[in-house]
Amino acid sequence: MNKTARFKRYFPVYMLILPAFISAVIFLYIPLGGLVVAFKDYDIFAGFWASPWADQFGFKHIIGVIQNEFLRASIWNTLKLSLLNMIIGFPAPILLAILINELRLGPFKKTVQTISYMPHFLSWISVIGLITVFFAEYGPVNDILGTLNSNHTRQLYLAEQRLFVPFLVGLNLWKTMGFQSIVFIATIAGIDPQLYEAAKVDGAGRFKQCIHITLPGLYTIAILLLVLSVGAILSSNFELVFGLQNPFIDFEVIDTVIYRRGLMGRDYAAATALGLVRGVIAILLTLGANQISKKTIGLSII
Amino acid sequence: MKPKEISKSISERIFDSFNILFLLILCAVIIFPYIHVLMVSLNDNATSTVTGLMLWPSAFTLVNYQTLFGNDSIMRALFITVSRIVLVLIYQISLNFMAAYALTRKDLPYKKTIVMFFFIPFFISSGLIPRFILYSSLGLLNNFMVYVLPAGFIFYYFILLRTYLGTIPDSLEESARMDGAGEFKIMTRIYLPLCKPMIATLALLITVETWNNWTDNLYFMTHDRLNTISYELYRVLMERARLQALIQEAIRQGQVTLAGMGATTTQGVRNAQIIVVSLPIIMIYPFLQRYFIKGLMIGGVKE
Repeated sequence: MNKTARFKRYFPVYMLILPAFISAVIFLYIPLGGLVVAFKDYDIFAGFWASPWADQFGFKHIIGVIQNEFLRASIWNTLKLSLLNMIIGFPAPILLAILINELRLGPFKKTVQTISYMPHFLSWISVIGLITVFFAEYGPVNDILGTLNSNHTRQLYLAEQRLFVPFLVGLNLWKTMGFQSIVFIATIAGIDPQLYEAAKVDGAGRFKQCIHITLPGLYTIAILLLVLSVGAILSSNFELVFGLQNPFIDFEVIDTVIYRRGLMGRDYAAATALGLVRGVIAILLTLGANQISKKTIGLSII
Repeated sequence: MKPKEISKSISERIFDSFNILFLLILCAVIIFPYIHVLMVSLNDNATSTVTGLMLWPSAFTLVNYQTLFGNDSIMRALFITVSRIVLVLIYQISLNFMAAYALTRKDLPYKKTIVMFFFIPFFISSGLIPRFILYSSLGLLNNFMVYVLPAGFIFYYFILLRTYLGTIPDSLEESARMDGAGEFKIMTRIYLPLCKPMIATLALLITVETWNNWTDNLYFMTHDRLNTISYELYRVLMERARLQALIQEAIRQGQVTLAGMGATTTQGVRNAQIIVVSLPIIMIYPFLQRYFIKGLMIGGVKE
């Protein structure tokens, strides 16, 4: 069959792809082309292409991202937050999975599991709602502390600068820990029971079994998840950070700066440049992490 | 040998007790905030002030919900949100299903190239500002269609559908083709009914995601006519924060004493709003659980 005949035969099939194709071109590819704004002095009336190129061979805004103290601080804050989320949020679901696995009572085990992944089902804005109520001036936390300690003065916890990052990390942990533990629980359930039997015969107690069988069994999946999270190290949860910010808090991450500077402040070029720098670093990190994963556990995600 | 075994079982028992205690505390930390908010929303806060953790309403009332649902802007937001969900469901599922069906055809020329074309933007994202500029030039700002149109092709949904379609044997299709059925007929009459479980799951996923979305509203709408329900919650929370800021300012200047401020019914209405935004999703999700555990790996790639 020659090419035209084949194409003719498959013409109806191509027509089925067409809507998705058009949608992808308009809403996914054109914005990618729009990244050119980062290299231009964007003029609303001139549009993407007609706007003049920025100084320094178009790199004015990119260089600006690195030189501007405020933008640099936002990158640093994002990195700090991601690393904290990783250090605290990464081992927590593994530990939870092991603890749940050690429970002997079936119904209690099921209940703990169901409750622990309930927060995953809440949207971030509802979570912010819960926390606003809970830590309000006349909320339960202040009430309870007041009952325990008569000298307690009511505080606005969410307006405290020093508590902001702990709140971000804590809420992230609270919402994601239970659901993330599911993967690890499933993996533990898949470990060959004969290994445990053999260890028991050799006289290994539950702690030893945990260290020598359960943990090594989780190694591959843990590394895989870690590799996947590396690309997101300069991303942050806009909904959480922005939703929790208030006039008393001075903590900006890349995403909130892009919104405030770009959309609110109409500094399109600088905000796009910031996003572009982030995107490029993310791709490089993902590719790098993928290489490491290929070498250490023989698994490639791309 | 024997004493060692006994001591081991004691230490194990201590561990078990601490483990149970720890997990109980964890469950309490997870579930009490939600129960508290639910109960305050069901409580008459004007006659019975809330102190401490509320695990049961002391004076039961539905007045907070009545206030909420009697509010025009809330009812409009619900209507906008539901309309949006219906349109996004139809648009997104049909578009992704057609593409997924077409790209499971084995001998389709340029299949790999087309899949690659769809994959690239999933890997490199353009960010907020180029999207904003595009929508602005398409006239989508302050337009209801900004909630629907950009939500067209989603690589993740496409892959889920394609993987599912791949498990269906070809023999059915071949016999239909011999009977002279056209491409569209084969897709809608044979493959679509077979994909019902996957499409149902996808529909739930899309519903949840669309219901929870409030940032599109924040980014692309400047007036309140087209607010969604989740964005209405954001606004109420922010106005509360503004209120807090004002109160704290007043305290600093010594104009108000802390003892003078009591719990008001605004508290109850706000809590009712948190429940209205979150409860439908909590009710939907258990149906998704089993599927989610399997799909988690693909989901991980998505993030």
